[in-house]
Amino acid sequence: MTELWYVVGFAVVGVAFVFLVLGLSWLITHRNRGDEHKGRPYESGIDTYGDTWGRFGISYYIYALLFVAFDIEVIFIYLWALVFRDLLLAGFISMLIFVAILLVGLGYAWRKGVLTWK
Amino acid sequence: MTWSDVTLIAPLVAALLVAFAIIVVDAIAPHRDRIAVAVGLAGLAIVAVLTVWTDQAPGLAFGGAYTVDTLTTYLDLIFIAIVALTVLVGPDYLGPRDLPVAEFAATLVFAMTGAMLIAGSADLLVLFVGLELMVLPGYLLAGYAKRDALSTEGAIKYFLLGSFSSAIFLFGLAYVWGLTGTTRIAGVADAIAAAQGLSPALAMGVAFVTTGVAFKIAAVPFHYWTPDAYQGSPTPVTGYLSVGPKVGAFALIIRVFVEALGPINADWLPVMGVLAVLTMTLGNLVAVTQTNVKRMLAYSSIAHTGYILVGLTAYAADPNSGGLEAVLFYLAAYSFMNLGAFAVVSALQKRPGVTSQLDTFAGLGRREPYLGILMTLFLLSLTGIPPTAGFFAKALIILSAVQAGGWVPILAVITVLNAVAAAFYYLRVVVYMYMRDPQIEPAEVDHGPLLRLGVAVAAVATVILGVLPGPLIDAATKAASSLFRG
Repeated sequence: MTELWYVVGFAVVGVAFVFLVLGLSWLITHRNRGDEHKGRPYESGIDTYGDTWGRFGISYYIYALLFVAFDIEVIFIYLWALVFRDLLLAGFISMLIFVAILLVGLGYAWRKGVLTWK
Repeated sequence: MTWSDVTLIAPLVAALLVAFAIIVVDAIAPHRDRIAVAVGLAGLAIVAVLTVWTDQAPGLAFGGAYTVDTLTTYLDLIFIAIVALTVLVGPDYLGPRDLPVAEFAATLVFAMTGAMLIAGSADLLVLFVGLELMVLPGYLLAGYAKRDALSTEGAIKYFLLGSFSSAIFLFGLAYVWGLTGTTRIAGVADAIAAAQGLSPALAMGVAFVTTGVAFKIAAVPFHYWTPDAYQGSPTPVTGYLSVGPKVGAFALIIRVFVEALGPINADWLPVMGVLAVLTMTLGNLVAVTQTNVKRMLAYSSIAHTGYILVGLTAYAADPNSGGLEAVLFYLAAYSFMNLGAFAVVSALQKRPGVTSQLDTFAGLGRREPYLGILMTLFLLSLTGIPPTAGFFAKALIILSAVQAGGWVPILAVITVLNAVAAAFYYLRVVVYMYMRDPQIEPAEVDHGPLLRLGVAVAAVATVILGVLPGPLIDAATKAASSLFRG
């Protein structure tokens, strides 16, 4: 039964932590103390403008997606190159398969006109 | 990596290659939908043959991370059938709406690969990768009609709750891993059996895993995303979403709960029982009030989740009750009859702008007798009236609950009561089809040959499973018995 109290303890501390942090940040940041700059997200630098809910073009997302794919490829290939001598032929073939899969994706994206700036 | 590793995962590799082939064909010859569909179906046939072939020499691959046993083969063949039927039905709906068909087929095959990976996983991490590979294409498909506000709304709800539940599930797996020190499913089962009993931390882990899984199968009270996601999605996608990820999630339940958490089945038994009662009762009660057939079928799919959970509860109470066999049979029967019903709905919606309201079905029996009769067949099967697949599916579930003993037979009574309540809203559609006149004269619709074939295949399967259920019950029994080795 004592083990169950650990669970209860975790739950209580977990909930209390949320209110503690929120309360602390309210105590520290909420009041401007007569200085309006204290209420701003950044005390120095350029003043923020506009709404955080503003809309922006998402036509970049496909480039971002392709970038992520090739970013991951770099991570794999870099490590693979380090131990290339130990992996022998099997390692080489595995990487060929991996790159081939990515190339099919790139070729598809290219063919579909994704890489053309609109 | 040995040669046997490669042969055992051959169906998975083939499935991925099929998806690539569809994409490449589409890139070389854009908008030739028939070619893409043909490549997809031929590829799926090859995958099915390979699946049966690997079943000849079952075993573990990659050091025990992936397994091929009768259960894997059984579930894989269901997934292949589901995707093949969806690929048949899809183009007729997507074509008139200018939605790409080739990507639809390729995405489905990717999702199928994930589901097959779940069915064969012997490791919790492989299982999670398979789960994500299965559900990510699902989010994409839910928002497939991207110019349609409802489709986008459904996709966003599905995506947010789906990824949230994946995170919860993974968190639960982390607990299980932390307490047992292994991610191998057999190892987890051994460690839990050795620990004898449920420690509080393991209870937390199981609770998180249950919550995550309950989201995926849309069990009450974790079902809120279902109606919106199902109603908003393009109809063939809804058909797929109501069976594909659901069967996949039940494959996951069998691998996690029956195998890994099998030694503590007495502890998760009451949870499954309560979920089963809540799910089928609420699903049916809300389905009664729906006037939109797609939304009605969404709630009815929630109710069917409840029935399947009854079988799982019966198994947890007594492994010899036949509960697992009933679950496996139900999954197959449900896939065909539900896909059939959605195929008819999407056939009616071939012309863009036609809604899935009940009125659309008015007079269908005279207007298109062929579709009317088949829709009646699917609805009777969903109700559970012989001689259809749904009858034996429900009968097996109820029998297993009766045999399980203890308090589980109460679930059998609730299942029967629910089935009666469900008859009301299923048969209401039949009443509309045969006894109401259409308010406006609908235009003639010419259905494509692929759609006719898809609906016919679903109907034949529904009838055959209802008249001659023996072979499939045997297959389900064999698949279930492959779990009782250790």
